[in-house]
Amino acid sequence: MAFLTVNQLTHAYFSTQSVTTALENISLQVEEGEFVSFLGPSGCGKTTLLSLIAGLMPPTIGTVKIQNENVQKAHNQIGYMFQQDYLFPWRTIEENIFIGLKIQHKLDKMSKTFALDLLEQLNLEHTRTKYPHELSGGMRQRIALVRTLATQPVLLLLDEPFSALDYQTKLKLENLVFNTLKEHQKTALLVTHDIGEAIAMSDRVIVFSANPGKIKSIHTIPSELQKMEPFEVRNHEDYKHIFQTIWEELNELEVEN
Amino acid sequence: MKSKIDIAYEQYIHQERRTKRNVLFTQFLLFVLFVGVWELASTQNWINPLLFSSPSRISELFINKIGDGTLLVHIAATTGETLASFVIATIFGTACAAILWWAPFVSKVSDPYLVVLNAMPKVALGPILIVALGPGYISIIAMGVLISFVITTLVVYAAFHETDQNYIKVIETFGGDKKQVFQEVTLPAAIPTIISTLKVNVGLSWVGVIVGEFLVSKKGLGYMIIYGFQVFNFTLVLLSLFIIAILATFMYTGVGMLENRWRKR
Ligand SMILES: Nc1ncnc2c1ncn2[C@@H]1O[C@H](COP(=O)(O)OP(=O)(O)OP(=O)(O)O)[C@@H](O)[C@H]1O
Ligand SMILES: [Mg+2]
Repeated sequence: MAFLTVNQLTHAYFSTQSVTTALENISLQVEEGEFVSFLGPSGCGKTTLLSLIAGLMPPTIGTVKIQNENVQKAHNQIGYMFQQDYLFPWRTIEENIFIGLKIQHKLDKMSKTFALDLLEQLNLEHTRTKYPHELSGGMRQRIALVRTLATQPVLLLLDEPFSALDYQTKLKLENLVFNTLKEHQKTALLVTHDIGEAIAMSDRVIVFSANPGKIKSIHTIPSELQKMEPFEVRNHEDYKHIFQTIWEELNELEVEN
Repeated sequence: MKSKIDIAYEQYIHQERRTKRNVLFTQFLLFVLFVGVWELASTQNWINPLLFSSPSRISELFINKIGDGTLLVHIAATTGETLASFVIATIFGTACAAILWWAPFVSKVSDPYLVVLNAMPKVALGPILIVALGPGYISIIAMGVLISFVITTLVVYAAFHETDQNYIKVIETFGGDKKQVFQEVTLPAAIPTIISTLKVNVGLSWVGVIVGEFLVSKKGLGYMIIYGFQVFNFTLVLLSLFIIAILATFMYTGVGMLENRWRKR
């Protein structure tokens, strides 16, 4: 039994004027510890898929199961990272990284120590008593990572977490997130528009087509590259080749639309 | 090099201080001039002294009324009523807003009624209030509450409603329920709006309470105005006006200080 099972998932958004089918018949299995990326044109339903996997809304049709349990009951197993950090501006950094623990009524000495240790590992302990607006974008996104990991989720959902950052910060954070997740043996799903990022970070890349969102193809990254840090992967000779294949595929999709 | 900047900076500070001093001085001068001209015009009969009174008469009355203790009773009554209606309206309005946010069905149902209530001149309900609640301070406080709570509800509800969905999503991804979303996001995000409605409510509560006192009271600054008007004692009317202006300014400044303190956090 796979760690995450998405079974024949279809999701439509309703308004009084219209129906938008965002996803159609998505089936997908992810093993424990695996890192999977979603690539696809804008509006193909990637965020919708992550929201469904996070149990934020019930799917129109189909099921999502984590370790054979329906996701609606699995909130404490999931961590979610957004395109922007969404740190609460009225809370200090420390209060921000404890928020998940507080919500889940798990705020005790041990969990606090764990969160603060994470903060230290990411070289951010000096920000504890500061407010988010006093920090740079890259620091804030690292804090958001700490906040997400503080509740010790087993499955991480990352919705374009690096896209609002400058290139250099982004490359550094890719390495950091990759290493942190591997170290804690997390399973992760990453949504991105950056083909290179998808290849560099993942074990598998899933390409979606739009209107409605469907799985177009699945690319398994060679095991040699899977083990490397993202920055090294970008410099590997096989990288270009895989990039080219996916690039052409995405171009075809654009022509079809 | 550095010393040149220092000198320029000193000049700048000096200039700023001078401007500030000049502004204060002009403000003071204007006040003295106004009082002086008023006094002069009144004693010279350029304006009707019966109608416009004069600064000396007003201050004389002020000292008398302080002396026999009656003024303090009026001030205490009005201030108490205003503070009560201000606090009640803010808490009650915010609570109503929370209910509307909590139950979208209730919000949809009550929408047209709120629009009507908001558009309605609440002062017109005065006579009904008096009959329902009796001609006492309860009616007056009710008047003050009525006048400001509808707008508080609408404004605070709008702030609750416009909370950034992504912050709500953060709480929901951790499995937070609606109560936690309200506590952790919706309410704290709306605090600046709530504080700015406090400012509006200070003014509105004064309107409500003074009108209420016009209608029913046997004491209070509103009563002093009506009484002065009835016995054609405009010195009394003007004295009440001044005291109201000063008290309202104090309350407004108090709220402003609260706002600053919250901002600094
Ligand atoms: N809350 C919503 N209500 C109605 N329609 C929605 C809603 N959210 C998304 N949609 C629609 O569903 C489709 C998929 O949206 P989604 O946000 O999942 O795409 P995406 O792949 O994440 O896009 P992007 O790459 O731009 O982030 C789009 O057509 C979008 O307009
Ligand atoms: Mg998206």
